[in-house]
Amino acid sequence: MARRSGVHKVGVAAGAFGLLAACALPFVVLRSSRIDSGVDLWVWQALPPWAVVVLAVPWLVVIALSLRDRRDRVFAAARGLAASAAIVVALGLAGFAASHLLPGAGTFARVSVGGSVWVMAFFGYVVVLSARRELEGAPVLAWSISLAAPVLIIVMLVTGWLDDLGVMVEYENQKERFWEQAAVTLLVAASAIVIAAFIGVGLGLLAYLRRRTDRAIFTAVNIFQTVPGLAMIGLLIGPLAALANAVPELRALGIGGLGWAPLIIALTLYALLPIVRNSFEGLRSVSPAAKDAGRGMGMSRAQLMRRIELPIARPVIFSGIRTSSVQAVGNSILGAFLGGIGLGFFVLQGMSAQSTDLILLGSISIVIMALVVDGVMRLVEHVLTPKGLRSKEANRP
Amino acid sequence: MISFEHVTKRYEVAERPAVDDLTIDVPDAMVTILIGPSGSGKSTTMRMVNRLIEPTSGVVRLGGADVRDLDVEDLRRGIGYAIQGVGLFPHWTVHENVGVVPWLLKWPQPKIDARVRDLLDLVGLEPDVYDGKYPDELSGGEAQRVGVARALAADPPVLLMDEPFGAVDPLTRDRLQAEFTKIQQALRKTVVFVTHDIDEALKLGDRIAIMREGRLVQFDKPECVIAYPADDFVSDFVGSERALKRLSLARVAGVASETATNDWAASVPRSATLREALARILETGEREIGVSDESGNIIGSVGLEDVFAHFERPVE
Ligand SMILES: Nc1ncnc2c1ncn2[C@@H]1O[C@H](COP(=O)(O)OP(=O)(O)OP(=O)(O)O)[C@@H](O)[C@H]1O
Ligand SMILES: [Mg+2]
Repeated sequence: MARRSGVHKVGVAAGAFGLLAACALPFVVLRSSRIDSGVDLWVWQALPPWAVVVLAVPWLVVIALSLRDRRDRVFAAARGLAASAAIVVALGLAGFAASHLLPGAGTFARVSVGGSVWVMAFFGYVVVLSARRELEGAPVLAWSISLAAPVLIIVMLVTGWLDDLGVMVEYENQKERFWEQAAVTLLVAASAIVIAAFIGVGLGLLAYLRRRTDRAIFTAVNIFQTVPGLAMIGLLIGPLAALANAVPELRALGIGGLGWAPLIIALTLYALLPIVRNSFEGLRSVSPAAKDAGRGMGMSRAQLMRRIELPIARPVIFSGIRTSSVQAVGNSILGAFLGGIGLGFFVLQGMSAQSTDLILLGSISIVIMALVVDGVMRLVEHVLTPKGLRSKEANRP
Repeated sequence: MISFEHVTKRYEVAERPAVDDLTIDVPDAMVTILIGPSGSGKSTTMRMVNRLIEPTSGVVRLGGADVRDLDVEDLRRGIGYAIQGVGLFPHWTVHENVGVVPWLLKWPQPKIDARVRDLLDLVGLEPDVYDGKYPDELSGGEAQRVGVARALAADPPVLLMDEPFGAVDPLTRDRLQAEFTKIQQALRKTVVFVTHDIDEALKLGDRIAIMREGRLVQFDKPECVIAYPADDFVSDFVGSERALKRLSLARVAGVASETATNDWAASVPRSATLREALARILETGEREIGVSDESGNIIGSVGLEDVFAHFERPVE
């Protein structure tokens, strides 16, 4: 990221790794059936020569644009666009390869996306992120760069360009189920966040107002964070099952050792730390002079909190809620181990059917959902930031 | 209006009191400076007036009433408060910042709006330019002006100012001090002003209270503090060049003598200080120079003899 050196290091490195991934890892995997382990096909086996060239071009452009490190918005934007193109082209050509490989491969044949496409997408994303950071002062450009690849991928999905890839075949088979499960994931994550926001902001306030309590609160909240996902679930199943046995009314509500109840509880517990921490730190970041002035001019404690401290802390608090939300969506994959709640359902199904495409359908859609949630919440955060504090916004993690 | 009667403030942890048996009558409609080295208890003293700090013993009175008998929020809303860190609310515009006390007092909005504009004018900030700005768009000097405007907003009879011009460059501070003097001449507030800059104290103060380790060492007019320092601590604090400082407190108008001739090689306005007149005398090499009125007419003269005579005259 050093800007003074001759080359744009991130661009050159990511570009080189992208090209390397294209050559060194299989591009697609051809299976005779959905559970067959399949044969790896490299780029040159899966694609005609012209397509190999098309695949390489955006990466070469990324590298070419990075040979000189110019602190120029146009260059950063161009680099981000080229990287977006690299992601889209890789995915698009995988779809293209699938359409050409399937007809000769039998009725049950499947084509899965190979490692090289994922790694290319990853490095493309790295370049997009770094371009985004360089475009900090130009929000419109920054947003266009971040949205270029997602929009094009959506276009490919809608037009059916990717329909022959294994993941999409699985999606096509269980379309309705997919959206149902996606809705459940969102609902579960949102419930957890709403609960965690109330508890977390409350605890943050308590720690701030009663300084003696902060140690205990942070210790408790930190402990939740250190429990690994599966262990957390394991710890919740027993008590909840016992509770449901003891109180049949709860069982009737769907609460039990498996299902949505332990998932929401687990997600809530994980979500607490960022929210409590940011509420506490956000309130503490209010300058002592401003608080002294407010008090000295005759604000009541409640007025000071409502008019001064909370509004100044609000963007920081919300950024904690955003972090938690992204985590909650990601952690919702734990639903796979609780009887297939939410998109984890497909992971569970995929594991029992030994179908990588199914597992992928569940996990990749969770990743996408997390990215979307992050983007939407960033937008909300910007709107919620009081105008006088916006210049500091860029410095917030 | 404000008086301290045997006021002591002891913080839990400290071995000596931050303020130690302080008794002082702050005169109305004047600027009373609290000055002393860091940690001498100036801020603590000032903050006991608006009950940001409660005394351990003794009574602070405002208009005769023990401040502890007054509703704390009403008390604070009736006292202007400006501090070194300025403490503008970063998420509020200049307009909202200046209007905060009127807003707390539930003034109608149009009255607040008009008042804010008047105040911005008063502190030398063009209302149309500054009204909608946010604190992070202001320079240090502009922020301090807004801080002063905010303190004046509800037209309180009493102003507490804790190093309000602390964080700006000397030139800006000179300008702010000059404007403060002008405003004070017009408004005649009872001001308690904390500083640790002796020149600022001499320039702005009608009375100076010198504090050391929580105790009041001397409480006097600026001229007397310079002429008759109570002890070595005060004379050290006033510093070298006491003679020159004394000259800067006297106006030429007070010592000038009648003159028959209009023919002087140089002149100073009658509003100049004796110190400025002496500088002019030394620069020109004349023993005596003219004194002019506002329109430039010579109305008298001032010379080295007058400077010496000024020192021989007792200060009352
Ligand atoms: N909240 C507090 N708790 C404990 N001690 C305090 C507290 N506030 C001030 N003190 C102590 O009381 C003494 C007087 O402090 P004060 O702030 O009144 O000094 P000051 O004259 O305003 O100094 P400065 O010029 O540095 O602002 C100092 O010794 C300080 O350490
Ligand atoms: Mg102080």
